Amino acid sequence: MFSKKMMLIAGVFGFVIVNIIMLFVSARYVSSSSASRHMGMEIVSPLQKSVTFSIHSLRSIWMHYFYLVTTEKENDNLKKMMAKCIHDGNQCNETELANERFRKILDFKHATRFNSISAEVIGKDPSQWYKTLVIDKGVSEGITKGLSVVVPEGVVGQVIDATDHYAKVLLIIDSNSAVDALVQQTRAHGIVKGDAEGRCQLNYVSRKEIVNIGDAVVSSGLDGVFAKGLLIGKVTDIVRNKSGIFQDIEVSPFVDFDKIEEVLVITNPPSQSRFR
Amino acid sequence: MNPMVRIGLILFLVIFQTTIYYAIPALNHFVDLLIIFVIYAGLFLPFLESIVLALVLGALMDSITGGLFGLYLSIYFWIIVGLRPFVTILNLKNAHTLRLLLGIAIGFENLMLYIGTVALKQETVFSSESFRGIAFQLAWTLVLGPFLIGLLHAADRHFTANAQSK
Repeated sequence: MFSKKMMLIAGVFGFVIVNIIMLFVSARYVSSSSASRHMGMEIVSPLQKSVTFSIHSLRSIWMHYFYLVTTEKENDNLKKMMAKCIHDGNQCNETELANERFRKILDFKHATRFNSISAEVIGKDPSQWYKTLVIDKGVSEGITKGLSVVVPEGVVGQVIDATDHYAKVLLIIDSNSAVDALVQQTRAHGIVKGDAEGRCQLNYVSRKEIVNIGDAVVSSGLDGVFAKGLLIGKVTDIVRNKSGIFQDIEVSPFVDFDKIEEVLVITNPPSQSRFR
Repeated sequence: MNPMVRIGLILFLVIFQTTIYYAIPALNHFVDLLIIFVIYAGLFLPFLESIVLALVLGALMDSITGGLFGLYLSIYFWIIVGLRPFVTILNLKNAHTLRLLLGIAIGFENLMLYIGTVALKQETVFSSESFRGIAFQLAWTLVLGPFLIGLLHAADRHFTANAQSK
């Protein structure tokens, strides 16, 4: 009744429909921490770790043995920098001690100490569309889905999946990421979302709020993921449209996401770490 | 080439593209080795074997990326299926033919990834940065792709001949 060609076309068409349904089901119901995903990660991540370790070793050999030509000059500069750092560090200690005394006077419980685990970045999402990293610590080291990931420069992202020894981190520049944030100087409140340009947008800031270019943006702690006061980035562009109730604010992250090698995963949620 | 060697090659390519590319910033938008392998498998390997390899590669990629699970599986599967009718029609020794197929495959892959991103986020995320990245990757793949496919094919024939002589 039907020709072979017709049957083939119908078969391909059927396959396309099945595929679309499966992707729809995957988007709606398959969690990022499903067993099928873990299996692939458990296979690939140990190898990624070994390769990354080899690269770091080779880089270390290069920097320590073959790059000595500039070491003496660099050493002099570093000595000068260290002297300055010691001076600055001392001043910081004095300020911190004074700060603590003032806090005690105000009966304000000071606690900005985080419990954290350091981890090494062992892989990066190869596509242009998703901005995630794979780190070499997982559930067995105390890392679970939802924990925040930082470096000294600021917020990196959030753990979205963890296997026994590895975890996947969604960067704040990914378009699926959102961080509740404040403009440090003016305390204007908004949501930092990633954009496809590798920067972030501070959304939902009322037009009435005063925000200036160069202002630092920090986490507000209200999202239950990131502790209050973690640096995110600085304001690089502001557009106040004639219509609408919000302003468009572009934020350039402090973290250079192309050069992260080690990160800290904060293991106590903000509710525990902010006020103890 | 032994199927296990091919799966080893897939693992190597995934590791190479997710670690070495990351460690060397200059390689950030370099040749898409995975698409090259998929095109090679679709053109030169038996259909069933190429489908299995594409599914293995897709599952590995879906495990380590932040997108929808099944997206890479679908992309690689449909590239293999889509290539099948051309295997007998086209002159596969012609570099321009391979470039055309590579270009279409990269276009299809990025379109699907874009749709996947929009499906998750429900808004457009296309930017000049993404466009530049894709353009660089496409250019490198078009330049080096036919050579790399040739290399894979030659290695495959060499291994197969060796296995047969033993």
